[in-house]
Amino acid sequence: MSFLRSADVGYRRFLMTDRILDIQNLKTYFHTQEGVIRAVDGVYLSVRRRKALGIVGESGCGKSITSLSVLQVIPSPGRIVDGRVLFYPEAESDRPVDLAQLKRHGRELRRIRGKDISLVFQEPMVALSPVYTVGNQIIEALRLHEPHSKRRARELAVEMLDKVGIPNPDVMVDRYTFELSGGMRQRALIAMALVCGPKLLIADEPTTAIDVTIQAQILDLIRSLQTDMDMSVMLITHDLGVIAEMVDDIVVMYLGKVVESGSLHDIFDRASHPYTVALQRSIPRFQRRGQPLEVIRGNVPDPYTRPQGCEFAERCPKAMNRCFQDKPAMAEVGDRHSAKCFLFTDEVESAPGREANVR
Amino acid sequence: MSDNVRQPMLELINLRKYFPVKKGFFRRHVADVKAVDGVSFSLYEGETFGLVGESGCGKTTLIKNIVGALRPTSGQILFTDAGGQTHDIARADRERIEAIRRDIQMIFQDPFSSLNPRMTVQDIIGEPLLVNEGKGRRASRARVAELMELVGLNPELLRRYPHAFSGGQRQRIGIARALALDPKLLLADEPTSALDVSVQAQILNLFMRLQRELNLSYIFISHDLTVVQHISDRAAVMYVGHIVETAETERLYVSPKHPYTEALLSAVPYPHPDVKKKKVVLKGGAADPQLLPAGCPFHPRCPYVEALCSTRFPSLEEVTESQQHWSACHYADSLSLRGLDTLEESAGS
Repeated sequence: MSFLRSADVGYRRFLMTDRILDIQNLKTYFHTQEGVIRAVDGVYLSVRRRKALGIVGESGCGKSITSLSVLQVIPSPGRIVDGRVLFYPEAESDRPVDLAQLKRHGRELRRIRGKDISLVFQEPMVALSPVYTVGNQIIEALRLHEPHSKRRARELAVEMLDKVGIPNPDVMVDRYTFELSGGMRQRALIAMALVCGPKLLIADEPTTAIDVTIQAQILDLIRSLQTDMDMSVMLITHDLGVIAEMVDDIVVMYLGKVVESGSLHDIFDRASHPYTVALQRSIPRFQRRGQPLEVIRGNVPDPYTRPQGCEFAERCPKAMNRCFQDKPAMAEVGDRHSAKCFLFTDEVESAPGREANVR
Repeated sequence: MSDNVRQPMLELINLRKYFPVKKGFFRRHVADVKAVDGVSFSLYEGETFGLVGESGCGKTTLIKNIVGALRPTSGQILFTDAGGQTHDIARADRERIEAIRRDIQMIFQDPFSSLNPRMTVQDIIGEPLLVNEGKGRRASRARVAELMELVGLNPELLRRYPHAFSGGQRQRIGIARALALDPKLLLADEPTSALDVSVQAQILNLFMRLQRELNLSYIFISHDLTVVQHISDRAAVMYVGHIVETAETERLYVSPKHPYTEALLSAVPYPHPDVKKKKVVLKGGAADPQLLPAGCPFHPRCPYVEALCSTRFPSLEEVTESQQHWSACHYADSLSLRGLDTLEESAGS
């Protein structure tokens, strides 16, 4: 495999421990009238079994599209143009399913969606239907995948609502979603996602629209369910605080690429990529009250033009001449910790493979 | 601090805003939503007062009353203008409110919906000048350019439309518009909530610089405790229409005297993995302002609840051991609550 360059070998070896999901060189592009938006542009990442991976980045970095690409629920006109999304349902020794190769509306993918891999979205009011009761929606999800009788499915739905901490589940099961508070809706959505006992839960900003005290409850819930149900979790958020509490591994994304990946402590204690460092410094902290915050100069460039060199060079405080010409390769900076920056490697990112036929 | 000597520029006295709930064919008045229920505080010149609380706690209703967009049910809003004259906004007539509004401006949360997409930046920032001083495009151009520079925008872009700007730049446009009439007080309602952290840092820095340069006062609303902590001199925590605790920011965060403040502080995810906090996870959601429980509105969720809490309403009282620190808890003096300081130490870095 051509993408297995020497610099990545150490990191890859670590990942060879049991992975449940392995994304390789994923590219999801949006072909629009104005041009091509490379929302996800060659992403590599892995989720370890029973562990939680956090994807961090600012708006427009492609973190959500990466997660939506896993189950091919990308909004139109987005489409996976390259790469592999290898899913290992049982163990990594098994033959993986390449989710990117499956037909978007095909039976195989539909069987996995909601059963083996579930999604929880940011806006529960958008993700839930207002014309069906909470129970109906959970029962639908359940009976789609498992042949339960209606009565049994209802029992399981009530059980699930109880598990996610909704009070009076046997009453709430017949409520419509607009009758619930924000926190309760998010719980209902989580119940729906978990009712089939998925092996991997993808949560896209699950607590962003929610108040902090309720957020604390929801995060607690996801964590305890993760252990109870032996799940792996892929958590997408812009909130480094949430990440610090929830995950084992982190990838940091910028402009459709992973710029740094490592364990939780690697990223927080030994952040290497200038973007990760800058991102952390821009958060207000208690010790530095009232002092100017460090800022990342400039803005995220518009989505149609991609810089020739490193994506972050324009805004990088450490940019060198070559950063504006070449794109750096992912380099190992520690055990299971890598960063995509010329500070750590001289290697250039491997030539774009099939990119020519995209334009 | 010479706060107690100075005359407050804004003083709220027992402010209430009830929204009637009407039901049935005759639209009978059946109940009240007590969005703001007896709030008092003072704001001094050049000061930033932070207001924290969860959605529905009445923060936004409160500042809408201050700017005169909503008329309070009862209470006083005393505002002292540049000439030293004090007006009660709660009882002022329309003309007076319009005059006062030049001194009090708002900044909104959503930089996308708060700017008219059909107006150029010049027209947006110049609109207050047109409305209040009758200055047309030509007359206001120099001032608009000056304002753009003040907030860190390139004045050459003044013919562009809002869609050409990023979220952070749009928020700067909103700030420039608010500054057009040289206000004394800015009411900022979640001004950075829609922004990415790196952009949020830019905007917070801008707020701090403008305050120094223009001697502005801020009331800064946010649900994000780290933001309020960073920018405020004093802060208040609101819970369903009441201020439950207020103090100097540092004191409030280090030694909270209300269980709700403690819970809020512990619920904020701290951006470092070594800070393993003992979390106070509250039961249930915020109380419904239409069906407030008897006694302390927080008592159904409070981990330290006692019998007294469900019968007697606690008023905001000064804490004995801590000066300039008020808490609406019957047990403020006896509870020992955890603040942020103890958490930082446990981080060990």
